[in-house]
Amino acid sequence: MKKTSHLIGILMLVPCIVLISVLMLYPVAVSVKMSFYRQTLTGLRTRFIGFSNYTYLWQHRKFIAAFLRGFIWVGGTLTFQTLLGVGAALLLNQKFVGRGFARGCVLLPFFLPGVSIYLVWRWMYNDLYGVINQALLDLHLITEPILWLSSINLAMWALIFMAGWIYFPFVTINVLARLQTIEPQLYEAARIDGASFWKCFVYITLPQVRSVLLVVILLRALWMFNKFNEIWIVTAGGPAESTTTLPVLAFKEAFKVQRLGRASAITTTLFILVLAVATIYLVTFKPAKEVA
Amino acid sequence: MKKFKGIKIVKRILLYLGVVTLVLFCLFPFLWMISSSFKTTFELYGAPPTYFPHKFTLASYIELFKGTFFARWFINTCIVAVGTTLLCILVASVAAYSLTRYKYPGRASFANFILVVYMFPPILLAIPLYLLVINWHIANTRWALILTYIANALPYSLWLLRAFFQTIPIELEDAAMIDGASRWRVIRSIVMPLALPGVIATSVFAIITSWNEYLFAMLFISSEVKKTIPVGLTGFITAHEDRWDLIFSGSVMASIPVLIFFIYIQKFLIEAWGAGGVKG
Repeated sequence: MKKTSHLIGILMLVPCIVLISVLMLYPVAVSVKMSFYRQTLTGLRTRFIGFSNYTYLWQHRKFIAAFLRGFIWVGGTLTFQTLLGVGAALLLNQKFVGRGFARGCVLLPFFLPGVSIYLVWRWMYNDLYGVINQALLDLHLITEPILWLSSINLAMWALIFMAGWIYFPFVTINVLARLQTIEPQLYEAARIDGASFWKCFVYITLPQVRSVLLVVILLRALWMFNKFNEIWIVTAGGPAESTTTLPVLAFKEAFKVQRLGRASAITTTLFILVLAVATIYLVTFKPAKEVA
Repeated sequence: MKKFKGIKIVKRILLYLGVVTLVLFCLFPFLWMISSSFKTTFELYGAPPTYFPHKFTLASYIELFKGTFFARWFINTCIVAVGTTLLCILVASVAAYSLTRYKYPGRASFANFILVVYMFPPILLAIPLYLLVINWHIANTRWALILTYIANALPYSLWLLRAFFQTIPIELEDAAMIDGASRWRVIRSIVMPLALPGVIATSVFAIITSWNEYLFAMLFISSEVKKTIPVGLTGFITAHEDRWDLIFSGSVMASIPVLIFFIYIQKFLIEAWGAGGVKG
């Protein structure tokens, strides 16, 4: 009886396992294999070359620069989205008229169609017709338009600001969900004892949201590192490769110059990174433990 | 005491100021998109940019539907998003039911495994899937998108549904079964009604994810009439000219279905995240 029930349970997983194997595991295996081959899109002249794709990458500035740029991109947007995300969560956890509406508005950047949003930002950053330059000029913060997206030094920061705006709601919603479970009595007791707002934040709020914040930062760092659309649609990795991160480089190698082997070596590197972060996540936070 | 009241009022004012700033900050690009979509091209490409259209026009919407394939893209996107979601929810809810109701060994490991594959970035899958889609002779078809979007949506759907199913007390089902109800009867009359809000919320996530997808659609679809909205919109920027007017009216049209769904599930959102959600 117990055996058959086990069997039924496992059989119910089969469709899911088949789909994930065919659409995710097998493709990853193909990628890892391709990373040891010289291969073009047509598949002609495919040849096994061992670790050459990897050694090539680590010897070339283009790859190392893209790898390091990924850390600027992640560090920048992560700082921005975490600070703004936590701030917004604290604000939205207060009681005020129209709270439901405000919460809805704050989540919107995260849910609106990404491509449309990236295009709007690209337009807002436009040096001639863009509203950002116009607003800064109107406020007398700048005296002439800034070339946001065509300047090697600024394009990455423009992207970081945009991505921070898009993804901070994710931090907000997670922190807010946790804030709502904190007992109000904790704050009342602290206030009776004369604790300031700042002390309440440091000694009550922060310890309570610490673990959820750590999970969010870890996962967001991984996801930001692997973002492609945001960068591709706004700057296509330019100007002069100044916003080319590893995913963008992989895309260019695969579909612009048809070096599938080299591109696969880049994505395999990303894959190893995913496995490392996933292991840290699973071991530290044990997300799958039964809720009961 | 009076001083206390003064501080309280100042605090209230600061709170509302903060909230209004935050809301405007979040809505601004969206409002800018809407405002730009009603401008004439003359005004759109005029410096300095205007905050509100001086001359309100529907010209770009009319051209979008009469002069481009937008209507086709809209239908394509609907078909692909609904197809993906139906398949995905069917497979995921059966699996989630199994993971939360049958006590076979390895369930927790399987849940962990789902979480790991969920972290696979699209760019990792894009290159091999491109080759596979060609090999399977489904390049430039809707099936190419429906199938590959499942890779995007299935792991997260399963994870969310599992969290929802865990909140349904198993005791209810046990009691019904002891009273002689069959498992199918229990699923139909106890589990399904209780799980419905979770299933709907998960479906909406899957639909929105597929609706917004760009990378796979850009790679796997080549003919103009089979494109989806995101790829179609980026196609308005070409080497010859940029049609920002069409981009904005198209973006507004693309956002409307998302907004409707969003308003509908908004109340589930925070609960869903509280129940153990993670989303990229």
